[in-house]
Amino acid sequence: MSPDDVEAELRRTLTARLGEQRVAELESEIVGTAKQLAMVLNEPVELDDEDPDFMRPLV
Amino acid sequence: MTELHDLTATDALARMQAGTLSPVAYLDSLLARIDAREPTIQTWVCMDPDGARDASQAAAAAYASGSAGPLCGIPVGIKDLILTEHLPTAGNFAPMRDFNPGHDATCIARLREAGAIILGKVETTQFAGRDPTRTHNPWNLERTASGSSSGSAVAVADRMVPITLGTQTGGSVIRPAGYMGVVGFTPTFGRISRYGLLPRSYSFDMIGVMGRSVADAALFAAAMTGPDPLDRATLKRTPFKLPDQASKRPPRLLLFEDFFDVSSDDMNRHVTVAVDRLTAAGATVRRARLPVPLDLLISLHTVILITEASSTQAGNLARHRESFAPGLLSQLDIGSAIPATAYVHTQRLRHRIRLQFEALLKGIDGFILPSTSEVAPDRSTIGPRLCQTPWTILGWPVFTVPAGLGDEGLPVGVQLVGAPFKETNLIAVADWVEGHLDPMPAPSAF
Repeated sequence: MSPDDVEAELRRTLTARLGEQRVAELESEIVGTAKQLAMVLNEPVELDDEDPDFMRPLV
Repeated sequence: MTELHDLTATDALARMQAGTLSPVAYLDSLLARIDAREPTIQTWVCMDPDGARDASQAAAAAYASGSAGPLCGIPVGIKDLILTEHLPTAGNFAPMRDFNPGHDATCIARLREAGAIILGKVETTQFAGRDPTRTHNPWNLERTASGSSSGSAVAVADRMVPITLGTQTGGSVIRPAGYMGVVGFTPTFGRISRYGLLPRSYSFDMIGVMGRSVADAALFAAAMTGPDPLDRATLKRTPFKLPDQASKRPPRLLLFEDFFDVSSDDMNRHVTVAVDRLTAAGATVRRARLPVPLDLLISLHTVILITEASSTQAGNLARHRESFAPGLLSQLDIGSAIPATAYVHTQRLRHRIRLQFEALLKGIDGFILPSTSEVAPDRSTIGPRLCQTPWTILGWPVFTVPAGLGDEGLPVGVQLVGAPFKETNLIAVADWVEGHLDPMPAPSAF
């Protein structure tokens, strides 16, 4: 997923939830977060990396 | 001659145990210090001086009868995000200014059991977010008091109390402690119960301690550890032991050069001097690069943080949207739009990265790096999280130890990261490092 794709998806969701005016106020944050989210989503996690309790790995 | 308010907690305890310092006189000296400094510093949200006086008299009686606990008579300041039975907990959020469910957080109950005196609540950024507080930096009133545990760091640095509790979700113990030239210590995720902590991010939030020595921070952290049925993360963990004595063995450390790439020249120069000093004293410091890019770590932290925080605050957002600070509100709004699959992917990635870092621990005592990427910046920000966030992602134990003053006369710190649940070893390392660096002077902005 490209940062542009992620940004478009975030923008769609936020517009539906908070309206265009709020999305305009959040413009720079949306762009920055989309880049970060795209970076994370493009990082592969293979099934053999899995720990069944990965959500609480230090417990 | 040392003023009473300059004493570390362990020094004060030793005097009380020897009968040369009364808990009442000690409390009075701290209250006088607060009276003199608070109008400028503005770090206390609320206090209970009458209750603290009663507690100090009880502490004096306990010493006289030989029943004093290990922290008996030491006044403590608490970040206003942790529940205290006798004082409200607002989290810097106006609609909660009188919020008090009438019980202590587990960590507070344990401090009381050990004899500590809960003197009052100190400033936090709103719900541990990124919008700065009103508190002033006692090193330079024009610089940030940081956050989110701004009041905790400032109260200790300015000699108002010897010990405070803070919380860390990104860098909120290590960063303000580093900026203020005090020791900060956050044990491994799961060591200290978070029951009674107003949450920001369930899988990151940790409770930490600030003090003016490694021994102080370690002693108070140890008193709060141990299983708590009210926080399942703690159930399998017995309290860690304090080192029997200061370690004589120089530590073996890994220094990640990535943090020098993102830190100021001033910070790099001073931390390099400190590391050279440790090396000359016998420490082994090997240089390496992070196993994953720092940008990826920061991005991962953002995705998990804003998603969890948005869920945590959904009720308050619906009821009191207008009361949120602008920086936090932006994060909460965007966090509400992160897809569930993206959040779960990020948690899975976090686990993979943790395994990559674990592989680096073989044959070393821990990691060393700057505590902050620069000295305290201006008051418009709480400062960047670059140097602290990777370790919050891992949930591993971390210290910041003061390493002198930078070129602008502002504190510099070195950060030490240990293996998970190996606090005893990390405390020994931090104690050794502290012993080979210069003592930090008191702030002198006014």
